Amino acid sequence: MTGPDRVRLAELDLEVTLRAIAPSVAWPAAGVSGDGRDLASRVGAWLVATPRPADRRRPAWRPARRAAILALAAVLILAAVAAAVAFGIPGIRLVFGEPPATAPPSAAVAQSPPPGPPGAGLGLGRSVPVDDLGRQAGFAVRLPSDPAIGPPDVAWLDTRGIVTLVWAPTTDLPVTTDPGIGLVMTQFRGGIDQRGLQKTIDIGTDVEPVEVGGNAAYWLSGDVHYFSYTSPTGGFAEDGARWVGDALIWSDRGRTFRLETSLGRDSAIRIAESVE
Amino acid sequence: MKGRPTEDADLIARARAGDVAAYEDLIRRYQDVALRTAYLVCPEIDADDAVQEAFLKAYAALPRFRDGAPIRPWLLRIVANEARNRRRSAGRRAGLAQRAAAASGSAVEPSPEAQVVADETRALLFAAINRLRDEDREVIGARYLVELSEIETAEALGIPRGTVKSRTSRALGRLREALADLEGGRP
Repeated sequence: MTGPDRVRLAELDLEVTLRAIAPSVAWPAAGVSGDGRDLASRVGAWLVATPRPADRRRPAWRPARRAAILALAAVLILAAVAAAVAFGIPGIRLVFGEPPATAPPSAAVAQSPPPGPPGAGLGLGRSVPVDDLGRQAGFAVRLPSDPAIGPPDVAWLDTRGIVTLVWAPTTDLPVTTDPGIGLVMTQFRGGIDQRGLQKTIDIGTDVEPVEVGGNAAYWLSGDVHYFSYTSPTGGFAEDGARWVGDALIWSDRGRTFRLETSLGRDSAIRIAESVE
Repeated sequence: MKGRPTEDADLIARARAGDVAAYEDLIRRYQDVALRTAYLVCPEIDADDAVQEAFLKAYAALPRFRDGAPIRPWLLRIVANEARNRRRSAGRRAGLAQRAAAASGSAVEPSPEAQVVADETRALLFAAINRLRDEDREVIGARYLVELSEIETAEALGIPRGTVKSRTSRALGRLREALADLEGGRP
C-alpha cells in the first residue's frame, strides 16, 4: 500500500482529495440531549424561559423588556470581569451585545436629527463653550488640527469628566449612524480604571488592532456595537453608554479617546493623528 | 447563494416578532454547518455548547440583521467568533479527528467519496492538516471540508472576500509541504 500511496500523494489533486475526505472528519452531530431535546429545542427553551427580546428594536426602548436585557447585560458584565483582558487602553470596556437597562435611548436609528444641537439627547452631559472647556473639564482638551475638520460645533461635559466633541455633518464629514452628527470625539483622562478592563463579546463586530501615532489603538467596525466606560470608581456603571457605529479608540499621553466617523478606518486614523 | 432566502426571510421575520418556534426551525436548517464550523475553528471545544451560545447571541442580534441578506454567512460568523473566543482558553491543541469508522476502515462502511482515498493517504492528510497553523487549517477546512462558499468563508473567518482565494492558495501550498514532510518521514 505504501508504494502506490506515495505516488498518489505526490500527484493528487489536493482540492478533490480534501473534499473526498470531508465525510471522514469526526464532525460533531446535532445530537439529542438526555432530556430528548435537540440543539434547536434547547436554544428555544432558553429563549422561552427568559423574557423575549424580539421587540427590542431600537429606537424603541421598552421598559417591559428591561428584565431580559438586564439579565443579558449582567452575563456580559460578569464575563467581562472574569476575562479581564487588558489591551493597553485604560478605562475602557467594550461590550458587544445588548445594551444594559440604564442605557439612554440612542439617536443612532432615528430617522431625523433630534431637536437641539448635535449630540443632544444622547446623555453626553451638559453643553459647554468650547473655549471654556479646559477650565470646566479640569484638563486641557485636545482637538483635531486638521483644517478640514475645524472646531467642534458642540462640546459636552458629563459629571464624570468625560468630554464629547460633536461636529455636524458637512461635505468632509458625512453623516454617521446619528443623523445629525458627522463626527464625534470623546476624550477623558486615562486612569479612570487602571485595570484597563476590557471584554469583547463578538456578535459580528470586528476589532482590529491599529496604531495612532505609535500608540495602541483599535478600530471597531461591522455590526453596531455597544460601548461603555467604566465608572470613575472602577465599578461597572453603564450610564452614559450608547450605541455607536464604526469607531477608533486609542490612548495618548494620559488621555483616552474615541472617535466615531463614517469616513472609514484610514481617515479616522488620520484625524486621530492630527489631534494635538 | 446557498440557503432558501424566501423561507429564511419568513422565519427571520417571525423570530424577530418573538416566534421562538420559527427561530428553532431556522436553527435546524443551519445547526449542522454551524457545528462543523465551530469544530473546524476549534476542535478542542464543546462545539454543541459553543453553537448554542452563538445561536443565543444571534437571536439577540437578530434585530440588527440586514433584511434581504443571506443569513447563513451571518450566523456562521457569529459561530466562528464564538468558537474563536473559546479557543483562547481551550488549552492543548487536539486538531481535527477522523471518524472512528473511517479510521478503522471496517466498522461502518465509509461513504463512496471517502472510499476513493485510501486509509493511509487519508491519515496522512489529517496529520498534515493538523500540522497547519490555525489560519491555514481554517481556510482549507472551510472551503473543502465544510464546503463553504467563498463569501461564507470570508464571513466566517472575518476576512475580505478577495483574501479567501489567495489565503486558500497559500494554505494549499503549505499543506503540500506538510504532506511532503510526512511522506519523507514515512518508512
